Amino acid sequence: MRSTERRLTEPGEAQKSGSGASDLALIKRVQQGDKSAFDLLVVKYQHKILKLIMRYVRDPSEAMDVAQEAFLKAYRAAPSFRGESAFYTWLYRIAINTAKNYLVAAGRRPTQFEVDLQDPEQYESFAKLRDLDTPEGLALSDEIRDAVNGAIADLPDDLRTAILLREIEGMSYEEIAQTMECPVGTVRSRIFRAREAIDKRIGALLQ
Amino acid sequence: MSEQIHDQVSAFIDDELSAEECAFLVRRFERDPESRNKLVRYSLIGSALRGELLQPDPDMLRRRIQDALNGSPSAIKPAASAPQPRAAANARWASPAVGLGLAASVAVAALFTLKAMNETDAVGGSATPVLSTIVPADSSSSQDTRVVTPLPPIRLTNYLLHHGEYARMSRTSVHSNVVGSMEPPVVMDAVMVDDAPPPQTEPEVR
Amino acid sequence: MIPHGTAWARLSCALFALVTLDAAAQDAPQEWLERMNRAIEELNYEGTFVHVLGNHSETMHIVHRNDNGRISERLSSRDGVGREIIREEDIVKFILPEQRLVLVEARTDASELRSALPGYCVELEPHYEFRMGAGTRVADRPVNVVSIKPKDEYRYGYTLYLDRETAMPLKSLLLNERGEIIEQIVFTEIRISDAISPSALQSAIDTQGFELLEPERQRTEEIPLSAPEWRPSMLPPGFRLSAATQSAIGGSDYPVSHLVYSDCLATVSVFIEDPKTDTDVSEGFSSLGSTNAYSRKLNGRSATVVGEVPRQTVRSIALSLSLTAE
Repeated sequence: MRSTERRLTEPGEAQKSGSGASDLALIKRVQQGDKSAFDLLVVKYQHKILKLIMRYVRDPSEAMDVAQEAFLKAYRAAPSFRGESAFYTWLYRIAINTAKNYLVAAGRRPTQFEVDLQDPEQYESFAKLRDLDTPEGLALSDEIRDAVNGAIADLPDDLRTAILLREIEGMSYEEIAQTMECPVGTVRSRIFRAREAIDKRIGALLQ
Repeated sequence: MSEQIHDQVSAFIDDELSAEECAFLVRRFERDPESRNKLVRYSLIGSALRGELLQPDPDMLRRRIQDALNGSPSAIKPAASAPQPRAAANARWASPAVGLGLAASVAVAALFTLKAMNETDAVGGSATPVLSTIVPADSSSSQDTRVVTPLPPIRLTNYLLHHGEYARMSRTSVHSNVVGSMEPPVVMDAVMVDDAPPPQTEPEVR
Repeated sequence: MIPHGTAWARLSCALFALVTLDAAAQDAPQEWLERMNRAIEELNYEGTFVHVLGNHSETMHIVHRNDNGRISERLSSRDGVGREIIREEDIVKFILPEQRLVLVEARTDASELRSALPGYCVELEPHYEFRMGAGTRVADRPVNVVSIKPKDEYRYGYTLYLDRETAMPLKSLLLNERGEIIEQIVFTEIRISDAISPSALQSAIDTQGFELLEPERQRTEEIPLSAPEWRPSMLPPGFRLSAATQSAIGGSDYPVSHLVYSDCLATVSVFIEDPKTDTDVSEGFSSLGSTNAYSRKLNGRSATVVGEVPRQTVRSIALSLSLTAE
């Protein structure tokens, strides 16, 4: 059911369907001292940033270290974020610099590791990030993935289409409304109900 | 009521709320764990759909960052990724917080922030301590001390700017240290980890 | 009677030795060091480097302009926070955007004093070991490697990767007493040009509305070196007094004595405050990156020793401060 074509989102590409208002609201809270707001930004971007960094730093555990440093740098630099660029663009730059600096410090030239964006191997190595302490058996992320896929398969067509267009294709509500030939309000409602249905399935898995 | 909020959370994730609605919701997150958790779970669903979930624990990175921001020891990693054995060099330093990597430096930054607020280092005759800009502005988040990039003690910075004029070989290094935001300055007690013999007596010859 | 063959062999050996000696002299690390010190000051350049301290690294941007001997420079952090130091004609400005603050210090015009300091002096010989390493490349340019190892534990060592063409240090490592790397500065790109436009020295930050902290403009006076004052009675071998001034320094109500000691490579500054200045310097060690500092009270006045030397060195110097009876 799910699109086999993965999409690497770059700043300026999809998922920036809105005006960036949600990121802006969160980073403003961070600037006022709300650490939990930063946590929500981490939740949103941790995967993307990690993927980005892995284009430069191949070793998954090193990439994790670099990603952690990038986010902490962003947190420390939050006071100086002025909203002239999108938050993700700013974060993206910090992440790239952190990765490059890391490579330079480790004696490796960053250009050696510029990888083809379309390289499917990237996704492979991403999936190989393993915490060595975890015993064999079905990992939590596998369980979540299976639960989500199962829930998606069981959704009514209109809900499934709406959420896939949003999450996979990165379309805005407006674009989805045009595609599905329905009002924007209906799109919003369908996506919400899809999420709720899936959430019921995974709720048990998370605490 | 809560369904209405969850619907808003869903739209928030898709960046389809107005600025005002965003601000309202974000303030709500701080005091309403249920809406926060909804956001986290909806995010997770999106990541799962895109095949982005970290294996095996999707929250690994997030937890490490949380721990680092809260100064918890679990986030302190040995300098495995450091290209050079800095940890050993740091072991000489008396302060326990130093040399434990990124997480500790953030914790020390918090320490420094609090410490700095007690200092009365008046600069340029002005009675207002410069470091007062670090005081957390939002009283509602009294639990969260605002950790900003720490400002080196003014006096040491002033000295370094003058020292840099003569340091020549090290001037770039001195300036980088002053301009850089990574390492907070650490003020330690006058304790030598290992006392070295004093330098040979050489009366100053001009 | 020496057989002809052997004589020829010995002669050619001697010739060969002469030739290699010559070549070695061309590549002598000491000469490279001299060239490097000149290059840093005299060239016009602009570049990006990474400053690495342990686990932390930060990208910096530097512009250095030499306008007929008048040096100006701008160093800014490229990562997030964006602080800057700008050395202009007669001031050093430190801009802190997140604190909305500009710190200004009078720049002691040390240029005359600096040119008096040789790039390399023979006094270095007993205290450091110099060696040339294998050539390599940094920032896509061929470099020669100079390794400088201290012979005692009062100084740090250096490994310098000097651009073969200009002797600019494209990569420099600071090494502690055990040869471990404390700090690295690595250029990722550099442009050495004939001239830099003055606009490149302008701050990118709009400091409108920032607080300006400036010590009251007092003339920097040179203390005659013979004046009775606090001086270290013990110095690591090779360190000499190279400058002594009294300057207004931000935060001090009265002029501060600034003594500069150098072994030609490492530099240590001693700052001694006027007893009337109410300073809040806590006794003991501080550090900022690779710079160590040690402060103490001297009969009611504060003294601080700072330098890119091991901690024990700044401490020993500080503890040895005493009044010279002259």
